[in-house]
Amino acid sequence: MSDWPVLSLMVWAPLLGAILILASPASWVKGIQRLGVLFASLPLLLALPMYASFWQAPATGYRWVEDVLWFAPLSIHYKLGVDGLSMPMLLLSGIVCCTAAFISLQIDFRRREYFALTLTAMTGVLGVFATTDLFFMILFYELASIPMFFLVGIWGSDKSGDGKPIHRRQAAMKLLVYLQLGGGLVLIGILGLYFLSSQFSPNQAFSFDLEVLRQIPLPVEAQKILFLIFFIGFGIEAGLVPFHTWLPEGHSSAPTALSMLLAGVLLKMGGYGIVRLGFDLCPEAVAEWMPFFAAIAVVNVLYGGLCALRQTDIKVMIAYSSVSHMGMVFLGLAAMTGESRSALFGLTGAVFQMFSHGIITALLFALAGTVYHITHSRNLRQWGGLAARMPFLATLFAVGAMGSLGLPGMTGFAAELMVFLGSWPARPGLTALAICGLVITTTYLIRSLGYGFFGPLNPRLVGVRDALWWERLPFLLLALTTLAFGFYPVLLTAVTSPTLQELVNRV
Amino acid sequence: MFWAALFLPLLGGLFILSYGQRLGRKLSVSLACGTVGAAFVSALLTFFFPPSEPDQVLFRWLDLGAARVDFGAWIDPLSITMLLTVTGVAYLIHLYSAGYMAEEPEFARFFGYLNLFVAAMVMLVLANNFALLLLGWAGVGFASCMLIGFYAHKQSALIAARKAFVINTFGDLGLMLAVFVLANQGSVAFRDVLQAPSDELAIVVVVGLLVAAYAKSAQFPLHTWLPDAMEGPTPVSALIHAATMVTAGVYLLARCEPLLRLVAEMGSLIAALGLLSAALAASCALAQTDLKRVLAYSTMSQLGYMFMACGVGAYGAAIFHLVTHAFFKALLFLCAGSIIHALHGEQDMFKMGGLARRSELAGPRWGFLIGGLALAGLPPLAGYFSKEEILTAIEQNAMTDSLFLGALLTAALTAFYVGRAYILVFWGPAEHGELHRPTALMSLACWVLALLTAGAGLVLGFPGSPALGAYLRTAPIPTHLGTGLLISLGTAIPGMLLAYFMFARTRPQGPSSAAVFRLAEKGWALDEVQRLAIIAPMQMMGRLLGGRLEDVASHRLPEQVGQTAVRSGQELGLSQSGLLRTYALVLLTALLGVMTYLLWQVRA
Repeated sequence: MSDWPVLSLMVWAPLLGAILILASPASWVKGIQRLGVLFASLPLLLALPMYASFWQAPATGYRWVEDVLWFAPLSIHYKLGVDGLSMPMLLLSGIVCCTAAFISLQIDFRRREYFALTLTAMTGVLGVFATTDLFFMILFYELASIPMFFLVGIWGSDKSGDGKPIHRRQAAMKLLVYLQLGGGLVLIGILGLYFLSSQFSPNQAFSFDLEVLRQIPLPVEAQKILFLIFFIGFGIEAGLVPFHTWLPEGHSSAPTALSMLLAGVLLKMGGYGIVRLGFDLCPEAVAEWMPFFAAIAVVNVLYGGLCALRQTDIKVMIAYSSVSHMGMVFLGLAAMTGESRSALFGLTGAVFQMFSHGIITALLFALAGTVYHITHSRNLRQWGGLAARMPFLATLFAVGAMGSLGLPGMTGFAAELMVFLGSWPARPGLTALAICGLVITTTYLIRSLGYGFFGPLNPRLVGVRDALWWERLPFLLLALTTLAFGFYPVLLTAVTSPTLQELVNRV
Repeated sequence: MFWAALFLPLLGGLFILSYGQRLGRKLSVSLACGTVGAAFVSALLTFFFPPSEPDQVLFRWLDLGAARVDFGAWIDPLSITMLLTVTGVAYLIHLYSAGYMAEEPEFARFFGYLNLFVAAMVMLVLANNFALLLLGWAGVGFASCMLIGFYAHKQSALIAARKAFVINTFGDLGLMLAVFVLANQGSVAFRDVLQAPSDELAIVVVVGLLVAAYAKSAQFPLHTWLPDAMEGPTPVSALIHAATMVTAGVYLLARCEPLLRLVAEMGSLIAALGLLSAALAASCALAQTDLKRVLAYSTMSQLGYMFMACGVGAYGAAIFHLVTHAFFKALLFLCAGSIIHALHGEQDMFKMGGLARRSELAGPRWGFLIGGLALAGLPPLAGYFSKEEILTAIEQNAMTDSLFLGALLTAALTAFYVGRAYILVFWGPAEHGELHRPTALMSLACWVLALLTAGAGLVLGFPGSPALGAYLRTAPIPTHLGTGLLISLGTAIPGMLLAYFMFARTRPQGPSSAAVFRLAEKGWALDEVQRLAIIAPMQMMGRLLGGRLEDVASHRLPEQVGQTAVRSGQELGLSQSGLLRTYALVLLTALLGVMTYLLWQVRA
């Protein structure tokens, strides 16, 4: 399979599915759904053997590289490739895309347009992780973010009940503005990199190629400015406080599958971008900025947790918990300033946390969406005692909550342990504060479990059903992933460690 | 073979949780009991044929360059003792549960989590490094939370489960802290840490371990979850909140003895806090009306004794008491469970009474009596020998005599509250209607535990030839049979006599209404203190940040920015009026401005 353009196949398969779906008649419901699930599952099917090959022979460097000169005057290459950092992200995207497509079967109107847009967004998110050319990275990013506007605006839901009402049109607009703000900053940074690097490269050539750019030594001052731009730009995508406010509104309005993609994958693009562009291309700026961002990371952890504590809308609660968990990613990244041993811990922890949070949040959103689909309510206080009627969903929610709060044996634990291990030597105070955040996390998750699934059964919900067998597949896939990687974390660390070690040595 | 003790209950638990309800009651229950029984057999095999090397690695669990964590077991006399106690008592309680939960519709959830608990507890005692220990440590917390909240229709059970989980998480964080520090020093493996402990930051590690131990073992000030945890089914209280999980803190201290020895000054603190917990809990126990809560406070009190023993360096005595306590406290809980079962769920001791005359409850009555006398420390029952060893150790090693006196006073209090409970439950005139007879399995478990309670002390810790102490290779404590008897009888008899005179002569109709009793019944209002000091501020922060600040940051500020943009667009748009004269005027002004600027530049 090595001669095949596997990466291209993986990235473009969903878009191909979208085109096929658009070409089919809208009344052909079964066919559209099957096409959607099939083409959204292809990336996962391709990612699994790729991951296995990394697992068997972990090493640095890109694999399955495809390089085509796309636009010579600006030296833009269509270039794809995977290394130890992007491989887990691609696997994560594959899993989330596949399960999101399954969950999308719940959509019951304008399915053709819905699946077409969702599949397009999937091509976008996969492309961001697979490409090594910055121009295409921006292109894929736009391909991912524009459909989200329509998905929220058309298939989203309005939030009423207690708290401020949220209208889906406004939420869609807000989502788009924030995503474009982040993307715009990143674009500015990339253009700056493009022009600056040509001045310092030996033959004055322009390039968007990551592998070329990382060979070019930039002056420290330029690195500092670029790093700041990248960090804030990607930080907005990753829910950096105070630019996180698109998250709760966007999530509470988004249809389930989109919430899964947003929280599961799109947030990770931010963290991935910081590592790829910030750390790898501006290594000398890391020590300058990361102490500052470490403080913001802890604010993320605590602020997100405290906000989640008082939410009654389950999706808003999960969104705030994402803010809190992404804080752990930032904290792990901040360990890069320490000695190389703890830097490796922190960086691995951050990547692990991205993977873990992606899987667990997708699981929680999928569950929240399914229960919403069945009960027509997202208000925790109106659920009550659902475990009696939905034992399967309740058990899976418990698995998700335990994974999220970092119960040992689940991915969340392995990730947080490594993050704290990394950041402890350099910043014991901040780390201790972040550890306190775990108590807050535990409180709101256990609280949601207690309110939502246990306790006396709400009489209004006596007639509700559990998930049907085919509805269970995506949940089982996500839950098994978090258990497998949590019980045997080497599954992930063995793949990432050569690449991350090399990165740590650079900084 | 010791791995069977971990994996059989684990797989059994997962299987029962997934398919138990479809499998049917009989098969599920047999599977649950069978796997735990097999775990006990494998523990016995490990005891008779121990591996030559304590460190037994199964596979590498975490790998990050130089730092690696193995998935492995540490098999030494201490872990084998714990393994035997845990799996043995768990097996008996599984058998008991088969009878006790016979009418429970959700048996699969119960036995599934009970099995998972056993697996996590085995993980805890077998782990060969601190990271793996943490896995078991949090695992038992999770299983315990799910079992406390088993009666999910009761709001109080859910709140109790939540409370237990949150306080235990706090403890987990302490252990995590210790893991961070140790990992940064190079290794978290027992092999490295315990055989060559490092002085550096040892105090941080020890404080972390203590926080973890105090939360898990319900010691002051992290004890408030234990009385509430009695909301769970009684077998759960017996297994988790008396015999096994709550003793994990004592195991941790005994395991980390080399580390604790580095910070010798912590010893007196541990002993003092142990005494405080023991005395505080005993004082609460004597004011309770709920039978199970008496036993819960009594557990906390006995754990206080074990911590005192650890504080004065008598780890062997602590483990000895841990083992005997597991027997007699499980027996007490199971008998209490049989009584509560017989009375259709009544737990208030003042509504019991007169049960000694009922032949259906003869078994639980004798069991409770044996367990109660062992708890009070009367010879030749197991509790006598282990408590004697602790008291002797305190007397010989403690810095001050007040510790010893306090321990004696608490022993007298213990005899008093156990006497009170026995008299209130079994004596007196009360009449009861139809009683649920305990099933054969329930009685069997009680009888085996009663046998252990009666005999374990004689076998394991007879003064002069302490078998357990020799096995654990701890420094022998020169207990003397004569003085021991004197101390024991001198504290237990007055306590019980006082109970007899206060409650048997004239039976009170209800709990004393004196303010001090009511306060003691409420655990000296420490719950309220915790609520005011920790929970209320956290809620307030949540309201402040999540409500006010987030509203500004998420709605008002972005809206303001957006509106400013729209408004400035509108106002700038006004300038595009289409009037030629206005354009000409602007052009002229601009031209003049530029020319003036240029002229000024030239002159300068």
